[in-house]
Amino acid sequence: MSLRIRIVVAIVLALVLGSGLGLALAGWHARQWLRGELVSAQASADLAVRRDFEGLSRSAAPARDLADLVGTFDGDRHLQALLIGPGGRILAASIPEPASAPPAWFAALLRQKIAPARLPSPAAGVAVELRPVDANDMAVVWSEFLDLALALPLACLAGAGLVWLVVGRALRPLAAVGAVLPRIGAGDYDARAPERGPPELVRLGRGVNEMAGRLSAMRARNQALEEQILTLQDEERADIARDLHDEIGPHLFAANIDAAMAESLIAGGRTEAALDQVRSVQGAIGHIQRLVRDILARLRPTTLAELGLAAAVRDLVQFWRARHPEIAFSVRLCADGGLPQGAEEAAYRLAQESLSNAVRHGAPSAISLTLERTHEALRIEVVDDGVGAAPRGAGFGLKGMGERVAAAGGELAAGPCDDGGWRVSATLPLGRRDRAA
Amino acid sequence: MKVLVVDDHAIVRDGLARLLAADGAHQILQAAAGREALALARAQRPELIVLDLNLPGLGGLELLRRLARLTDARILVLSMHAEPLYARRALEAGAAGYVSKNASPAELMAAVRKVAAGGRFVEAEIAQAIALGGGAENLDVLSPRELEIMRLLAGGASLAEIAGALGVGYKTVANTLTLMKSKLGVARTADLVRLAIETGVS
Repeated sequence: MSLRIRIVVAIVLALVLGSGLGLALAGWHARQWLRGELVSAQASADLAVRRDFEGLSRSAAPARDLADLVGTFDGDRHLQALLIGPGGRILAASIPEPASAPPAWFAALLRQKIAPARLPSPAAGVAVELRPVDANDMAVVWSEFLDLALALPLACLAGAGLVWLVVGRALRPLAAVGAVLPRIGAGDYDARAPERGPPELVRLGRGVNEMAGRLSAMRARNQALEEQILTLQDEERADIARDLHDEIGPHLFAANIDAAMAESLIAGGRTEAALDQVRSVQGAIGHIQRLVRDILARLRPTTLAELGLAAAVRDLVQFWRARHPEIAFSVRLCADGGLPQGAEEAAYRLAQESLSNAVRHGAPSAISLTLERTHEALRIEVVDDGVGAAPRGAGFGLKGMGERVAAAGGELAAGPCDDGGWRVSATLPLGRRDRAA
Repeated sequence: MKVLVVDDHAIVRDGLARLLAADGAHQILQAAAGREALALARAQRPELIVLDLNLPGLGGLELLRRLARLTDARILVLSMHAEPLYARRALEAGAAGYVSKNASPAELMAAVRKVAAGGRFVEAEIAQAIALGGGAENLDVLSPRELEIMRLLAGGASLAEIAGALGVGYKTVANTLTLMKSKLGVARTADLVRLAIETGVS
């Protein structure tokens, strides 16, 4: 049963119960009132009859006076007077006011036993009896009851209708929120719940909307990350393809030609001349070996797992120092062993990316790299004195580093230094990884 | 025979020069870049030009077209690319022959001789791929769904937007892209965009 129907049924039940109680109370009052009316009418009639009896002793015709006495009660609303002769014979009777009788069941509910009063007259053998007549009062109560019986159900109906409207209106936002939640559950994060109605429902709607907004932002972020990963992957593959294509390809080509020529020279008996070709092949192969080693080193920093972070970073610096002797590298490493693998990996990649960025985009004359372990965190900083921000602000290098550091629960800061140059610094927590969440 | 060798790698030029000299070419000119090649071609009038398409600066098909207009030398393209698409385009742009650097020295020399003698030559493997329908410019190889992705891509949509527009998962789009690249013989998403714009899919 819906909440709305439940509320309305409960209220209608209360109204009906209240009405029943009211009717019962009204009935009880009516009985009291009826009894009072009849008893007091009987009492005042009693008084009047007794007064008349006093004058009867001086009467010339007592029998006629008694009949007159009974006749004075004609048209009385509450009682009937009877003249009872010897042997209980009714000599005369008054005619009470005529009344339309209520239904028998209603009369039975209200009827009360009030004994008729019999007053013996001074004339011997004759008495006056006063019988209560309730038909008139019953008719009054019945008509009042009919009014109530009509008004109460009408009031109940009106009340129920009003409650139905008000509750429906109040709960409408709840239904809307109820419709929105499954849509959000199904992934439609643009769905919004209404923020109106009573304050409780406004809070509910607002909460649901905030949740949907957060989910939407989270999905957008996830998609951006995925896209970034794919782009990075694309770039990385293109990089490797370019190396294979532009560097290794030509050397293989030349080696192939030289080998073919050496073959034909040797076949022609000119072994001396073939020596040049063989040396040329060896030179090409040597070059290819160096290229392959470089590519592998970039793909997989074996030294990190085998020798630890400090050695791997030193190796990295050595790599750049050999290629750019004009740059003064200074390295300070105060972090030996015992670091979590995630932090080591992140720190290494950070050093790799920062050094590569500095050399490629900054044209610096000096680069300093610091790796420092405090008791709770690993701090890494790469500072150069090259040209600053513009070429380095964008690009995936920095973003990728940011994501990697964030994944390890750390913080990354990168930006131009006050006196020119560029600084990248990151702090990686060494405690529990779940701090990142 | 006077031959002009155009390649940005000295080791390739030297190897080629040795090979050509051993085969009887009496004068071998070398150029490392497009402008240098144009100048030499104009001044020295070589009979044969062996041209790499992957040059820094002015290079590729544009250089090939200019050389073809400028001289009546026979042009043999010697490229790292073995994809039929490149070969078709080079031949359309005025090359008389196309050989990849994966070809054997014997096949390379056969190409040099054939082209120098006024014939046309395409490396056997590439010629076969072209005959089988590779390198189609009209993108017939793509399914309707793939064409739609290409159209959206050329319109500047991101992968997420494409996934949203087609009502499919992000990963599906990414995987389809990879498949399309291999079908069309290109390496990068950027090449797909270029191809889409060139062929008017967008």
